Amino acid sequence: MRPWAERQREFAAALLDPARAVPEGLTDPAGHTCPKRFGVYRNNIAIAWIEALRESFPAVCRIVGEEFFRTAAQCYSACEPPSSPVLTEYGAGFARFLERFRPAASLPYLPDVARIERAWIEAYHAQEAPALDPAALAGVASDRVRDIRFAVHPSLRIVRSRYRALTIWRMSVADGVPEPIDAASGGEDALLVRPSAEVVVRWIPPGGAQFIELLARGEPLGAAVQRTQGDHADFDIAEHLAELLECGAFAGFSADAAPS
Amino acid sequence: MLIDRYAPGAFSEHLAWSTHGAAFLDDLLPLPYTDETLRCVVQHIEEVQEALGRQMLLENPSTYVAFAESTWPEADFIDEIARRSGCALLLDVNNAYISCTNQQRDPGEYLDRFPAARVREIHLAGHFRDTDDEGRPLLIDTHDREVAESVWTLYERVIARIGSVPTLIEWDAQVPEWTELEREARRADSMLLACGSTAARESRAERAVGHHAAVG
Repeated sequence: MRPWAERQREFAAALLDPARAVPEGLTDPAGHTCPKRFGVYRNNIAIAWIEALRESFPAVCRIVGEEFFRTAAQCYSACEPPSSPVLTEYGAGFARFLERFRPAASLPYLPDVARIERAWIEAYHAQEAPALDPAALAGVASDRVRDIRFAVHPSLRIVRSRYRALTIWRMSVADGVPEPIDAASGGEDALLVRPSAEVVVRWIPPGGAQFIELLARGEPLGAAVQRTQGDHADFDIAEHLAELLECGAFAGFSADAAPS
Repeated sequence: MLIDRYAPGAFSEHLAWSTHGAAFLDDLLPLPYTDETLRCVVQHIEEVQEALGRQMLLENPSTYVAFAESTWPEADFIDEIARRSGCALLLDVNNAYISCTNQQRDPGEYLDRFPAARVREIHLAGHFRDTDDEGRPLLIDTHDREVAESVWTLYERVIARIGSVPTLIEWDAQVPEWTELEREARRADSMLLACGSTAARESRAERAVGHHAAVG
């Protein structure tokens, strides 16, 4: 008989591809190959993967319905099986898959709802860090404020959408109440962060996503404000910054001048 | 390590595999029982025990197929692994029943052969009865219902032989009302108590016999 490594490779390949024949020498009590017995393993794995996705994407599942979701999840896992035993990490490519999944083409907002759910999981499992206490900024001299560089919270995630994905997500989570919305009424960007035990989800105004991304890249406050207001003239920096501080979007800051 | 934080009473893993190459195959997959796989499993267990700095328990699996190339009976294979690696064992009576029934072997004989002295924990669970392509019984380890009567009977036989060992009811799918799960736990408890008192009586009787013998 061939070495175990080779047998194992063959076993795994047959599990991943239902079109493949059952490997030789996997037998029933009579010593015969038995497809239904091997099918138990195929089925267990398919179900485990679908269940993992269903738990990670409950709003997507509620929007499309159980049966549609299972089919979508099965198609996704066939082309992108999990690579880690930590199944909360599974589904990073699910939103991108939904964009190309033709049966879902009539729900163009669906991939962005999936992105919000994915960001929620990432925020939930991100490294712990205390949020920056806004009072700590009081000591910064007024002529140094524009030099402040924020360290964004390690759990912070931004999801931009051309659709009202955040509203649709809120209406589709467990205690949400679905209501008619105007699908053509513009996009929504969302911020997710977990400063302590719970994930906080906030709507952010136009320009807000760009502003946070600039800060996250290490741009000093002054430069980030200037760039954002150049693109969004009515962006209210004071109000937005107060909201970011209040929801725990930052973990720290420095107010030294940039090294020249 | 997680094990340092929670300091569990026991650490166990199945005689099975779940990852291969880049994919995580979320199930407990079977292996052939040969000299080659024996060395492989022993080496892995030694690595685990060294990394964790403690003895692990190895659990017998549920299997749906057998490998034509196997040269060891499962209970002997597990016994030999335990001898070589120094690990202890977790006996899942439901798994033993499933694997034996699926290969039309006698579960009682399997359990009698299982190395009792190394068993530190017992698992019980419910299974689903299906049939294979030929209409023969195909039992599937589902953990979604009450423990089967035939498994209770085997459990009683096991603890009569090996004594009172901590026992876990595994019911983690279609989880029932607490009262139903509690009923299962109490049934295991009362069987353990009964076996404990039987064992105690027998050991008292043995001591008594020994005493008489000494006096005589």
